[in-house]
Amino acid sequence: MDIKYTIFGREFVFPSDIIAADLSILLMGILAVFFLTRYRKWKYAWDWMTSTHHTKVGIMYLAAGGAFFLRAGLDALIIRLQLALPENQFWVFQGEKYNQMMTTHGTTMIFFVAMPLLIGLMNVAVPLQIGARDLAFPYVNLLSFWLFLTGGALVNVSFVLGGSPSTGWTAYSPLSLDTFSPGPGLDYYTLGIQIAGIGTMLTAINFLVTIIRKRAKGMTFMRMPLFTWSSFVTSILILFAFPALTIALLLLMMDRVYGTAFLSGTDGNPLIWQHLFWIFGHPEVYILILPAFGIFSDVITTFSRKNLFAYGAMVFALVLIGFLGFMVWIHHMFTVGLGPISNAIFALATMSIAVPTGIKIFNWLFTIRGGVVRFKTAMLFSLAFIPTFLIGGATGVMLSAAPADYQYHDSYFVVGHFHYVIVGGTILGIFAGVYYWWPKMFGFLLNEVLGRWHFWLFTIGFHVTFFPMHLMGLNGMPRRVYTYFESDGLGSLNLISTIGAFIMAAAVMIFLFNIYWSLRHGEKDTTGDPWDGRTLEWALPSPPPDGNFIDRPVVTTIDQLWNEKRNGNGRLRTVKEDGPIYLSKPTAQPVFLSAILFCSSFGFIFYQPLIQWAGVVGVVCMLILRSFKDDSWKAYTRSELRDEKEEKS
Amino acid sequence: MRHQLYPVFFLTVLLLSGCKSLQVLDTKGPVAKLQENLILLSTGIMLLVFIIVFSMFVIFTWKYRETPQRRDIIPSYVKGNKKLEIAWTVIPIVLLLILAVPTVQGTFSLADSQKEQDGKMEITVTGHQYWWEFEYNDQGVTLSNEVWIPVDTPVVFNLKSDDVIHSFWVPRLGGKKDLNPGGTNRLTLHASETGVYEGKCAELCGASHSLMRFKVHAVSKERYDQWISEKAEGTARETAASDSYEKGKKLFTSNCLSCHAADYTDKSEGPNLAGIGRKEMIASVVPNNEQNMKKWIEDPKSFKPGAEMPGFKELSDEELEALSNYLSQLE
Amino acid sequence: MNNESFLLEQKEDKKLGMWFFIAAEIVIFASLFGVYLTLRSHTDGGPAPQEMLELKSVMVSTVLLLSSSFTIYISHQAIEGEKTGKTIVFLAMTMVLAGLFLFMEGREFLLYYEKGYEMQNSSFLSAFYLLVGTHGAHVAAGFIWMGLLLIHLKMNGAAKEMQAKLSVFSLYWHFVDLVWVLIFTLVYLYGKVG
Repeated sequence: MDIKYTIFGREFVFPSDIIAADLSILLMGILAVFFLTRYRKWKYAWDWMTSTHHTKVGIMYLAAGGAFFLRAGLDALIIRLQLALPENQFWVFQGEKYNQMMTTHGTTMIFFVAMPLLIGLMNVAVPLQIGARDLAFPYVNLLSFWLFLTGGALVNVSFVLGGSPSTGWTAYSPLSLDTFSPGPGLDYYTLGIQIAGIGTMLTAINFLVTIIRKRAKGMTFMRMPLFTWSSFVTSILILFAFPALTIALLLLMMDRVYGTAFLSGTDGNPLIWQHLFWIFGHPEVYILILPAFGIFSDVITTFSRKNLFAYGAMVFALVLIGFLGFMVWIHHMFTVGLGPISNAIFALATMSIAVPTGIKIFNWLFTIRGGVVRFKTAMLFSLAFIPTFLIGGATGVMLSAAPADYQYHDSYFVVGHFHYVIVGGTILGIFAGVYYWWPKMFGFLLNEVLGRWHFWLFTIGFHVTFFPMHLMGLNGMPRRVYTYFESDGLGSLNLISTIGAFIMAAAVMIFLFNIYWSLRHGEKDTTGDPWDGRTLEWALPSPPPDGNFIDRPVVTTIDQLWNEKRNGNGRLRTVKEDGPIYLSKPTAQPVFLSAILFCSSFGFIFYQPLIQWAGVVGVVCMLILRSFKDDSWKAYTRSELRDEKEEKS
Repeated sequence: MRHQLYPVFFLTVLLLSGCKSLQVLDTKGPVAKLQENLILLSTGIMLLVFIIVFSMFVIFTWKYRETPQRRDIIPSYVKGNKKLEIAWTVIPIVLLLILAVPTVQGTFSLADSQKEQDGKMEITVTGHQYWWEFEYNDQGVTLSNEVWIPVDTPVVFNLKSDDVIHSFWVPRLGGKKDLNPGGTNRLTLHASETGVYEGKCAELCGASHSLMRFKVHAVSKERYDQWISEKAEGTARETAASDSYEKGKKLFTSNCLSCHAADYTDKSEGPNLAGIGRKEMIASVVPNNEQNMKKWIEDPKSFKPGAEMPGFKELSDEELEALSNYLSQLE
Repeated sequence: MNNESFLLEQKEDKKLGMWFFIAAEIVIFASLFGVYLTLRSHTDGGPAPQEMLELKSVMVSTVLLLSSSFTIYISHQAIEGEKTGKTIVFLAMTMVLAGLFLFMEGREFLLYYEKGYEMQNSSFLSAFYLLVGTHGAHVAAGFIWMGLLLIHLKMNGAAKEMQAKLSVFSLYWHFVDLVWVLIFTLVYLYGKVG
């Protein structure tokens, strides 16, 4: 499918897929420039890019994560088209190109979609839920965002600049070493994830300090909303899991760029990669699911008009799941041949996670019981999560039985399983959270009718896509294959799955249309409390003013706002404070720092020592500059902020 | 919430229609049987849990939905319930224990059977990008992309890799095990019925990972003994000696022999081509006929992306015909 | 909230942040130690730890770095008491000690390099250079950081925000020293013995 031209007697070959990607990038670039100029929004865009305010950073996370979601979703459609029929030849996506698509799909979805979308929601909601004015380190927060975007851009741009990574998101060595993957793809992978990962670690530290030190008066740990709790536990997981990935990626980069001998099969030990990767990788799946658990807890209580059943047990289960998440990584390596003792121990440890997860499911059900259930879109997503996650959890327990896992391992059964937990848990959670907090972020509601269409199509499409995958796996389809034979008996299942993928794509289109429609005609949120909420964020106007709480609230119970509405006058009691309020100023430093990192990454990807050194020096200079331009806070008086608040409403 | 019944409906229909034909649940040996039983047990337990929780889910959401009558109700505060908490902690633990016992037993019994070496038949398997090499160490026979085993005999596969990590999987005979470069894994499989079983690579190993397949021929003991001694005698049987055959042999010697052996008792860097004439597939992926064989020799990468073999485009049509004719007689 | 209490709050935030950063660093070094201990026997193509490692100069380095932990402690105490002069003197001493440590380490690596022990030669060498080098990079970062702190101290004196900066740095520096103690034991002593 290459386009060939002969000019001046020389033949030029343009692969059609690269041309298509180039054109789409160009088109989007032109459109962006056109609209920014046409509506004179350059200054506006720059204000956003340099703002350290937590809701703005959160919304940028959501926007960027959403864009990557579309890209990785397109990859998924390409994958499903190639697999729709036996021995299919869709466009150029066979062999190496298929592997590139499959790898970018996985890598992007995990690192640049699920994580940033969750972190975006955490940014928006956590400071509001604990009555804080911002995160503890707003500058670092903006820097984290830009590091994530840089990493995402590197991984995504690889397709048109030399080739994408092609070894699956797990990048097992020695396949990922330069001997077997000589192109630049894996270098994009190591650099991109490394940079984004550093940003994620900084985010974790930021949230930990914020949650520990910035809670409103009276908000003890055992009065925190569940979403804040889950963000707290997630941050701890990030803090201890990501460094293992940092080192794994460092080893891979050293082997590839500097020719060291860590991971090769001949001198080093390829299993080092697997251990380090899964020591990170298993907690990672809990990093993805715990914030979603938090969202469901908040949404289910709100739309059942009832307090969370057994709050203490829910918190305990969260912490226990987080703790156990570090103890089970070997279950990804049952077939490596580590011996029966470690396989048996890790099988049992894995099974034990089902207990706290079960506790959570039952507590959600008993929260619904006796409540008044309102089927708003956010609630629909949360409800659909329960049976879906139940299936994902059940297959998870099945996978933990080591001898049975020898059959499931690396087959489509596993693919089905993790899509049930990640899409059925994390993505449904993100949709629920987006519908739930949308009015808080933008001051208008998303349309409920379109929301329901989005929900039904997405949920039905989801099951149609992923349920058959379990059966494909049981019928002997290994994962990461680009084709299968007619005689394998996998044709109809794959076709069903492909149809489901397009139903999901339609649902996402409806969601985008919903945003567009609601932006123009959506119901305005004038009260700041459209759902009859329970937690502090709903006491603020939508969107909240700078500094959020001009007078910080006092908390005496879980669901403070709910209690004030039922037993008080509906307003939060506040602490009387004097003196100025310190808010973080906008700064362009993170933008420039990330730009330097982005450019110098190409020095590592294409092995140019000069550019590598320029990058190191550039980063050090930026940090020195930061140390001398430390006037990042501005003091406001209360009346100044009040005026601004008036102006907004 | 009627739509929530959808997955259950879907599940039942598919379970009833197809499950028995799924390879992993239609097993042909004791190792796979143990795994199949564990799969069925865990599916059963999980189905039970699913039905209970799902029923609660449907009942609660339906019963407590907001209706015009219930619109203004403010539900009372419920702190929790100790007894219920204990119940849904203890019951799952009991269910998990039911699953844990056979899991641990199975893990150790499959591992034990891999340690005993005495008297068991051993075959060395080497994974290459993207083909399988099988060596019968005692008889000095080498096969590529196919392995012959006697039924009712445990066979130990010594798994090695020449390049990246591969994973050895014959769904109908048992679960998989990785081939790690720089180490050897042992996997015992055991066929209890004669037949031809599909084998696959289950760990991503590069561009043609999907095409790294092999076939396991499980035959009766007598047939196996006869077969292996025949092969061990050497020289693949040369049927007819015609001009074209001689020409093909010459071409093979000058072009192919540096990488490919043509005799069961020889070893070579590339796949041993002994027996290619009788195989159904070329390189385990293309139907074996003259046209495909010629095309393969000219451009193997069009069938198997990333394969190491270079294309022989310089060969004339006539030469290709002679070569493929020669190959088709290697039995 | 007035300026004073805002600065105090910031100081505590930053210190807590540094503690969490150190927690992440512990996992980083734990992973590196794990990699080193796994690969230290893979010496094909290069020397074994016993024949390669220089114990004498490393002992000197150890003394240097441990004393720097002491000097940073005094410097930190001094700034809490708002004694600018003493703070600067002891911080400068710390910086000199760090500089000497870096010099010693550079000399050691150069010596190995001259003998042809490069990090590409064997897995042991790769792991050794990566572990010790990562620690060295931390010392180098601390060195630059101290330089900046000195400039700030010259400019602002022992002001409140400098207290925050120095206490965060001293946490970092103690951690870097602690890692060195582990490297000294697990890499050098254990390498010489076993």
